[in-house]
Amino acid sequence: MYGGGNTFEKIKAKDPQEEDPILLAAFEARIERGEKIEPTDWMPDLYRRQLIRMIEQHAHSEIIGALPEGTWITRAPGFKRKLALMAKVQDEVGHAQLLYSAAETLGKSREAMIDDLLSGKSKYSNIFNYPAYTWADSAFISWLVDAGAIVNQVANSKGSYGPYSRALERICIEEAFHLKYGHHCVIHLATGTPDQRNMMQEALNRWWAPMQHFFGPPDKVSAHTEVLMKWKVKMLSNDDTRQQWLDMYVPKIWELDLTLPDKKLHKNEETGKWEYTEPDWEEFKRVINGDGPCNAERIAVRKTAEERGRWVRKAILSKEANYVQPLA
Amino acid sequence: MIKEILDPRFKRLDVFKAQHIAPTQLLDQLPTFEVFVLLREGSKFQHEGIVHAPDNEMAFLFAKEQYSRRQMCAGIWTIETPNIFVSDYSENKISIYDTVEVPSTKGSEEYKIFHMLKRGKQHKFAGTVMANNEEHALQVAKAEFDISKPVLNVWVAKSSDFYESTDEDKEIWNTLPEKTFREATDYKGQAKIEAFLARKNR
Amino acid sequence: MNNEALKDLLYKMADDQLIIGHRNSEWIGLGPLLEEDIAFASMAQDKVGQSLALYQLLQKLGEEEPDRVAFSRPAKQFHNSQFVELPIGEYDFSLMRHFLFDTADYYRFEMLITSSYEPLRLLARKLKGECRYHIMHADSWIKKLGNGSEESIKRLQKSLDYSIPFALGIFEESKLENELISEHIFRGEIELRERWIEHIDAVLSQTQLILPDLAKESPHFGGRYGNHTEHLQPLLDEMGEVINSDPTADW
Repeated sequence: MYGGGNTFEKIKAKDPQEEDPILLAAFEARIERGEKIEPTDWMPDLYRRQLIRMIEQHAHSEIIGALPEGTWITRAPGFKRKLALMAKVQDEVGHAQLLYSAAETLGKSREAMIDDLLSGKSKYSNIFNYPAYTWADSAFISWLVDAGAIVNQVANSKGSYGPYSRALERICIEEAFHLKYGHHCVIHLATGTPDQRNMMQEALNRWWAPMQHFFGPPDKVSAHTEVLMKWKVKMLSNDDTRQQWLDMYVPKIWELDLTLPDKKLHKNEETGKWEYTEPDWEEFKRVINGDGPCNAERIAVRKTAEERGRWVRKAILSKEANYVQPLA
Repeated sequence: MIKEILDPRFKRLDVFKAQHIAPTQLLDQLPTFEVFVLLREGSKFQHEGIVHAPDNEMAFLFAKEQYSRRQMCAGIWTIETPNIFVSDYSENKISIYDTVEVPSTKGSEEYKIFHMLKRGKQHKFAGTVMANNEEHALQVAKAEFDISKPVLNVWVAKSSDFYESTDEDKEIWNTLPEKTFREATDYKGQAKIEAFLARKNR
Repeated sequence: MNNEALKDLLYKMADDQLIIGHRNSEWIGLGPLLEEDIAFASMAQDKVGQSLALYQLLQKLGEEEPDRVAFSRPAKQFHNSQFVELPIGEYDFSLMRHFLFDTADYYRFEMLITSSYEPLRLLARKLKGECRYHIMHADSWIKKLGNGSEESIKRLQKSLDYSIPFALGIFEESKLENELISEHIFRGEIELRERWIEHIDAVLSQTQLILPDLAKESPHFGGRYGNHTEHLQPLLDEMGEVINSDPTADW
């Protein structure tokens, strides 16, 4: 789901200015021509590390995102919702697999990535550190969080790294139904009984702030944005993705006569930009560093799953097995 | 931090008891297998990605769900990653085959050849050749295939290393087209919105 | 056509598929390997989809619409075998249940391809491919883990020993078994059980696992006529939590 690549921390990597200038120039020229970089091509250390981190965090976001979404599978109301939610959450797991695979082509093993998730070293999208209290929360996530992820994914699918670009194209195709399903759920709640409407409005009120954090801090405080955009790792700035999402979805929310808890939110017709109350970035930092409502539970669940599965994996591993980096 | 676990599944597990022991050894997640899919009869097998699996047979079972869950499929091949020989990459108008020599011997084992014609696109099956090793296979391919379009990268692997789905296996995809609950078109909400707005404006 | 016998058969099949599909969906996101998580989730969807198709057949025979039938009956009105309602346990139990149940399922549908009841015949023909994948998957796992490590063999043996009495409960005969057979709607649980034994024996003999002597086992019957374990009602309560909070609402 989430793949913005923005963080507060700089990555430890070789300074691009210390790379071989001829190789660097050829690499940058290739990107300039719109050609994809494939796994065995020469690439700057920073490009490789930044991509690994970005793709890895995207993968972690998918597998963790499956948890609050999955909360409502056993309680989905009716066959249509039950089947759809099963398929949707399964897709999130599938996307994690696709993304881990893409990151593996850059030289980090899946074991190492899982280790880093469980130890807290690698991050995942902060929005999943919040609880899905009701069915309406599930609908919110399926529609609007997925919508946010899609804005990022569509943009980044045009990025320079072949395997990531291919994975994202595949993900975008599968996500099409997620968005429509989520919107369908929200429409039913918003146009339904008074209790259903209240449940949806209540969920919106709670999820609005985390959703504004979703796109990441304003670019002027994001590390590496400039070089990442030059190397087509990051295709849209955080501000641009936020604007795109607001433009596409706020009218749809208002169309259902639902309100949003930001009195300042409106589109400036002259500039064409949405104006809003600046999200609390200190809160974002606190939550992403472990102090959110569900951080501990999310990681505990993943640890439990990994541990309980260990005997299975060990039992089927053949003695002749060999690890080799995947090809594409 | 909220104390209450909301998911009834996790309420049934003792999730906070887990003490993760880091899997510092490789292969906890099993080795990787490259997956090739035939989208429909008459098209060519093309590379889709990998699965982690203990062997080819399970790789096929996993690949079926990971790579043909949403689109119809007529066949799947899997092969363990180390069994694929990868040629150099050439630059745009130049073909890998330009520097490959003509074969001087006949081959005795079947190899599958896959071509990448454009960076960013998946490798596609180009055909089989009889050869004695991977380099020889490239030579035979040059002699036997139509390589008028430049080929940027070639994968070569012994046919015997692949798992290939059979004709009988095709029925596993029979019901796929009916699973419309996985399609965007199954979720039309416009009528409901309009009815709601009509009620509101009355 | 004896509608009562037909409905008896359809209800037990539909309820079995729904409950096992629901149980298997509890693994989504928690599987032992990402690829397996994905595969298991697909099969859970297949089962729930099959239950829906069966409830739709029941609707054509005058029963209520599927959402109502599936989500609002209490446990004593359910006709699933007790086997499928048991909690998911660890992966060894869920895989063993998948192997034992899905094998019976495959042969049940295979036998129904010659049913005198056309809608069921057509459905069985349609689902054959899906079910084939399920047993390919199950057989593969049982062979791998049944030969894998000391731990996997021990775990699977324990699950097999625990499961067999419950699995035999799948073959509880209908009160209208004679009618089902005489009207060629279904060739009966006894024949189904024979085919099932043949298959599971063939697979288990390729492992270090030992199939208990079935003659000495006491099947857990009762599920087909509303006698369930303490696990079913909580499952149904959870399943119906949202939809039953307001049955008149459109979700």
